[in-house]
Amino acid sequence: MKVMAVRFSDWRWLLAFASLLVLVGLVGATVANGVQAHQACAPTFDEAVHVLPAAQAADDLRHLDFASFLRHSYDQGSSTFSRGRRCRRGFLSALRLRALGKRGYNARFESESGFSTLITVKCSPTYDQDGIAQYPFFHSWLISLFFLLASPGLTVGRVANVAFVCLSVLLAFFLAGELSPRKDLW
Amino acid sequence: MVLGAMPLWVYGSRVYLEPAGLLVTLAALFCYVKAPPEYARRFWLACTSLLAAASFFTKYSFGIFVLGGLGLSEVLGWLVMRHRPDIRCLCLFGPCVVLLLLWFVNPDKLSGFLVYTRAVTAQPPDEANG
Repeated sequence: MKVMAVRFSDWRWLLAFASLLVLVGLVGATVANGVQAHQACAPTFDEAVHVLPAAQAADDLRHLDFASFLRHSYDQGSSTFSRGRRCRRGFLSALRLRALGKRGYNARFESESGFSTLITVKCSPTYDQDGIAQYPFFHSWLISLFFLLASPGLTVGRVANVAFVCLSVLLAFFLAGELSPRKDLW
Repeated sequence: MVLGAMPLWVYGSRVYLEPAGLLVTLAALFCYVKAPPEYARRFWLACTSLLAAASFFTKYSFGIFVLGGLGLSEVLGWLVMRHRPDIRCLCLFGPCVVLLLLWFVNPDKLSGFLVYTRAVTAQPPDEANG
């Protein structure tokens, strides 16, 4: 804490931090605007795999159904997809992938409490979908916070990830300060 | 430099795991740096442990790298300082190990983890689309 107090009283540190803050804000806002402008851009299958459980988690939290929230979180990271057609168990059994020729799938997601969304995903026929669906829950938790603040959707999920990158840059600044041998300066 | 890296924003503007993994990994490193061996800062050690578990639960490979790095750093510290693992080790790895054990108590998770560690294999187009 003493080191932090020294840093906040150092005008050079404050100037560097303020400059970084402005830069991160400008770049982040520009990228977020780009995401908004291209919101019609179809998600890849991988994006859909990440967005749908997050939407379910947000839905559970919105209904204050913590038991379902934990159960659904624990359901992630299993052998979810059976040859890319449908899921085996839990809430993801409501996910259906309907082939749209060789170019993509329609993925309809219906949560147990009635929330549903329909997205069209591009899916490479060379993907082993059993292999790419083995993701645990923490990313869904982080994204679901943004879904609670806004509405669940692909654009909100993308903007959330932009925010994660911006926060990472700020965190890297503080981490560099901790690793600096001249803590009196930085 | 990071802000101007276009490949970073290509991934950063998609709903992929990498941005969240970057954030959680840096947060774990920050907490770890705040708890050097010469100080008994159990709060920061526990935070490091929980964030290491969070990185594992973001994507298995992220957690393997974070936990591997922490383990390597601690082992080298023990060798250099010539002392045995103590309460610091318990604070640093205890919460993470408990959470991982709770996760892998279901054998299906372990099989999923093993599936994930294999390379993505190609399928015949007919099987994938049919």
